[in-house]
Amino acid sequence: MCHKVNQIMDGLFLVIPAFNESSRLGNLLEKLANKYNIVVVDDGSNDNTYEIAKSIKKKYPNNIFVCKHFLNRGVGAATKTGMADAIAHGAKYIITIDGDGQHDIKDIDNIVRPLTCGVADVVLGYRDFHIMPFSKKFANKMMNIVTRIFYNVNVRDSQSGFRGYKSDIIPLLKIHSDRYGAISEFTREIKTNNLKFEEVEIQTIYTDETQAKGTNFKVGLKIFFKMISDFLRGKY
Amino acid sequence: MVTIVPDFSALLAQFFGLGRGIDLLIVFSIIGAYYLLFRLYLKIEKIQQDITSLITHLAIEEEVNEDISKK
Repeated sequence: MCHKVNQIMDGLFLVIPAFNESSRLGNLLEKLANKYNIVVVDDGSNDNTYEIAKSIKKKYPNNIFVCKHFLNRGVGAATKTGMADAIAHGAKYIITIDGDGQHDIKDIDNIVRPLTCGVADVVLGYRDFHIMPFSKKFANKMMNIVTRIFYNVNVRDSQSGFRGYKSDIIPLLKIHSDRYGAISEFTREIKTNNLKFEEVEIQTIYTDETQAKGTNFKVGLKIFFKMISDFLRGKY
Repeated sequence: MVTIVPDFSALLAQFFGLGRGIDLLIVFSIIGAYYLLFRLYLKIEKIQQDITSLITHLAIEEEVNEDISKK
């Protein structure tokens, strides 16, 4: 029987990697701040993403934590930093969510539920590919196939950043990539460590800004060559 | 070997199916250059990972220290 999670008291943390999200981050944090513990990681932004996060922290000093990379290292690195910081603050469950507001915050409870019910160690949010722009749909479908071939893991959305993890499995995950390839590596580590996982459908909010980021054909190619390089070097 | 036995390079080239000693030298130089490039790529990637580890450590330490100082 699952118990309802009182998010702020029961060790649930949101980890939000953010790069140049000054126009969207403040709005996102305002919606989340009075319900969740949040770790924001500014990944070396050259706008005022960090200052915006700090200003929200002043309003919610006990449940918002802001880390800053003084150089841009990539979403994988920022996610790893955020997870480590969340664990340092006593996180039992960690939900990663993109800082550009493309994820519907109502889906957070759907991601959390399998974790708190003990059904899963990892919860993967999957997007409806039918409503994606063509280039993103193609790139994401190809990445699903490549993830299946290289990592022998069959998931509906290998590139979604909206995921949930139990904190105690985080130290088991060996993630080498700092950039977008890290998302695929997180997927690989599910298989490597025989973790229980669930997939939950999530809504995606596409705007001009969110469409400019994420996995497209060029990013997909880079991830693919990185996978080949890691495979040839016996990294997995 | 080449200075002691001048025909050595030509013999070696013929062993690999190449015409002249200089051809063999060029082929080996290209292979060697690509190998060095690959080693350089690995070195750069290791340095990138070390930079990320350092930046992660600094980011967390700064955040935790700031949090402690405000409590």
